[in-house]
Amino acid sequence: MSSNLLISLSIAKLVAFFGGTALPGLIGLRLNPTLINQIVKKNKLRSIIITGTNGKTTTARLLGSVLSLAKVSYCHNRSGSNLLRGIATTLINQSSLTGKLKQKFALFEVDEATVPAAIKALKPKIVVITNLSRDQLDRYGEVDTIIKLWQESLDWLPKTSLVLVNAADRRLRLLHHPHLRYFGKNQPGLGLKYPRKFGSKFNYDNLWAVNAIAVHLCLDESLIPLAARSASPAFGRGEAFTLKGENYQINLVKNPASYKAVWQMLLDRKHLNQPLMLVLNDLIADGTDVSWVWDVPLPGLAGRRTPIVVSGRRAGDLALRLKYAGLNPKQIIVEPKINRAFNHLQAMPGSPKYILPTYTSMLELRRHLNKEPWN
Amino acid sequence: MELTLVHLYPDLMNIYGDLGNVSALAFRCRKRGIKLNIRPVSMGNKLAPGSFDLVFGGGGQDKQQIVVSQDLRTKKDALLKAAAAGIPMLTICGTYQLFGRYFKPSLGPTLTGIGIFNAYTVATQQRKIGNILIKTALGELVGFENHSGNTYLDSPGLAFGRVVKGFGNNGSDKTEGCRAQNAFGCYLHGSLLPKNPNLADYLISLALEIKYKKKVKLKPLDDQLEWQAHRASAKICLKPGCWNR
Repeated sequence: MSSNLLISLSIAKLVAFFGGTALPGLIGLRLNPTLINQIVKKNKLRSIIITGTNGKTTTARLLGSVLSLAKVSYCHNRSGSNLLRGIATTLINQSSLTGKLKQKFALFEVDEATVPAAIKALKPKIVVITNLSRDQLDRYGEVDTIIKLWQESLDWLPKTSLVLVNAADRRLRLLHHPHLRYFGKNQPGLGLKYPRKFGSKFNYDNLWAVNAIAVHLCLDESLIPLAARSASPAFGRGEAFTLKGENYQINLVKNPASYKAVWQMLLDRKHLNQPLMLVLNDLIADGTDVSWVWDVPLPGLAGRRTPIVVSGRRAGDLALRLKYAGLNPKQIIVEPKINRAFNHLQAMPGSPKYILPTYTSMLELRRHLNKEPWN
Repeated sequence: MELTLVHLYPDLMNIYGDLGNVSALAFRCRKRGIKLNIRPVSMGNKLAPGSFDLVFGGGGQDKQQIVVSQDLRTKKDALLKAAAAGIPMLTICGTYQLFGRYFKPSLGPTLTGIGIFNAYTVATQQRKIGNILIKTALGELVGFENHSGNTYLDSPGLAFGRVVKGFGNNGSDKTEGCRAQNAFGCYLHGSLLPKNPNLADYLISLALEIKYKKKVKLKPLDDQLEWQAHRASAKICLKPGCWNR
């Protein structure tokens, strides 16, 4: 065992002692760029990586529940820390000083642009690609750039590894690998019916992805509906809470595809006229370019009589999007400050109330809510 | 009154929310009782000279630009005649580049443009991404740019505006966009027209004046939300030490 691994792990673990999901990994990798690969080799770690524009967190969560029900122990990076440093932090936290892990399995959500580095470092056994759509073009440039990047990464992947690709996403048809399989409802061998549990179409895709992995790992497929029923929605993905006797639901909207899905859910539930607050930030984690809101069709606003509260750094852009989607401007409350916007939402009659924030605005909202007196 | 808007390649050239520009034109016409017919014109569709009053074309990815540049040849004649007749056109990013003389991508052969603008574009390794604010004869415009191409004008006087903050045509000469009669090209996504209603209205009034051959004064609209969004974006863009610069 190299002393380099011991030293870098000791220091990174010391940093991890003080908490954080990125810093220990960042420092560990700085001290020892092959840290992840060394831990992987030492433990013969078999990892599954999940990437795609939408559904990474939900798919990983669902698969995690299935693995737990099957009594398979695994390590998993927390949502939001899906860059290489987040993966490193997870391994640093879970390993002993000599780099030994208790688990033989790892499950990683991986940021789209981090896929090449993650594949090189982890040599994963399974790569799952959920979908690809416009998201954070200010970071990636073009959607095609990501496809190119993924194909290059698949060229690096061992030929024995499995690549599972969503059959419903035509863009992904460009990808190839000797061991590439599609998952989805029309794929052979998968005839399961799942409960409409989480309420948005992505969850079907997530279920199909998990199903395909379960088949490959020879896990009992009947665990999947069980896991789907027991798994709680991930952070901000339909998360519900009660405040002063009224129900609220937070649905993260981070790109046109997730916005459309959440909007469709509101329409399906006939809840579009419930009190609604939309928040748009333009920080790096949200995407600094907010022009994507113009790619979201927002049907059903023309006759609306209850106001919509718009908030965040780009509340103005959202207000215009709603106006041009047919909402009467009198029904638009523009309040860039999230705490004040939330007060408007609270004051509106009706429950449940819905909040559709982008990533950093969701974190901000959460900080604000933690200050609320709960009953 | 009635106008026909040709939306060029809406299926191929709409990567950064450019649809918002068409929504803005439609909305602002409707509010004034002007009927705006939106005609999508894409691959293989015929475009006859004199059959339209306004043109819009948005941004696209490199691959789409290749096929569009080939197809544009079939529409070049109609577009050149329209430009010479003063038909207003707004082209953004990818379409702007192809309305110049040529676009040289980082890989592959040079794409021939239709030459409405006396300008050419060369792809670079540096992607120019961020909020942008420019000063034009119509006033200040605010948007978001995201392009790897550097556009060079034959003369700085052809520029649509001057960069106050951002990269603009090429990141060095402070010019942004190009204007040739009533044809405009620029790098501002955002979407551009919703929060720059002065430009939207200017295009509409130009189209009406050309078509009906008389001075047109558009009925003012309640643009409180538009200017609120404009000011907020400008403030974020101009903030010193802006984090995305």
